[in-house]
Amino acid sequence: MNSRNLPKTCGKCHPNAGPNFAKGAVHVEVSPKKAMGVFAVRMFYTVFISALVILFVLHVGLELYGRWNRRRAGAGRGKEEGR
Amino acid sequence: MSRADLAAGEVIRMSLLFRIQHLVLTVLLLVLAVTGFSLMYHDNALAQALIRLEGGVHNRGIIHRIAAVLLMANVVHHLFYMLFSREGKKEFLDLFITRQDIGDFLQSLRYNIGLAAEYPRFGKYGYKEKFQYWGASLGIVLISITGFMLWAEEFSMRFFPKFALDLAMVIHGYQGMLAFVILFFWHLYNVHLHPSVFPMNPSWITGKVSAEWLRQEHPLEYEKLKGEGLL
Repeated sequence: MNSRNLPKTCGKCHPNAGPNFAKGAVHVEVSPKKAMGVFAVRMFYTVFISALVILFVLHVGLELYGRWNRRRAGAGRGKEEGR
Repeated sequence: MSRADLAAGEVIRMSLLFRIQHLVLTVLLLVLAVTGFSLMYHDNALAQALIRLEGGVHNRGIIHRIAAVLLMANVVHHLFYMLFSREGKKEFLDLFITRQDIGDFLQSLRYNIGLAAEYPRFGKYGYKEKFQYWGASLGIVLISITGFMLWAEEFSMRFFPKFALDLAMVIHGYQGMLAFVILFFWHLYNVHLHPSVFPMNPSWITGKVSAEWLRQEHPLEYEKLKGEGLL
């Protein structure tokens, strides 16, 4: 690939690609060796988002369990609790 | 609050301006999600169909940027309103995170596993609403900065190494995913699926909630309004 043609070549998929567009490596395959920062950030977000989803589901589950449990106890005592 | 509202047992929870800001936010976030994720997962057949629907790679970018600028305008308007208007300043104070919120969160966990006798008593906003609000605020700031860096790519490349742009791209994409996850698993549950509001909390459309709901879910706010003679 000729570097002078970069704006044209990259422009096929990246409208407005200019001379600075491909100053560094592009379409980097992310591995700790090649791009430590990007790899670390991706790792962080993957773990963080997954953990958050699990915690959300647990929180919702716990809330519904609590309601069910109180309702059951309330029914046993012959009255319904507020929450 | 009008006499008619009080007679009907309703309380205003979202003023007209906040409802408009919220609706604008909702529509723009949906547009940004559809145009953004279709680029993020451009190898996927559904994403490619969406890009075609959005008028191709070029037009997709234009739609995404227009929505982004409108979103930022909405956010700036919201910020000024929160800092300088009488209503906004009051809301801003209500939204401050305090040590009480952490205690409330832990107490709600204990209550639901049966270790506490009382559910925490929230003011206008409890830990759920505050988490949502500040999470969204922080997310929008981060996604706006990285979005600008990617938009002004030529400009950014003059000042930052390629490495910074790669990071901006990753952060922008994952931050979008994070926002989507919070909206889907947290916000939708709290305002639509939670048993106290199912099928939805009407305040985002009518601005009002029932006084009884407020008494049960936000008792401190209920008592405050009552003390002020507004209920």
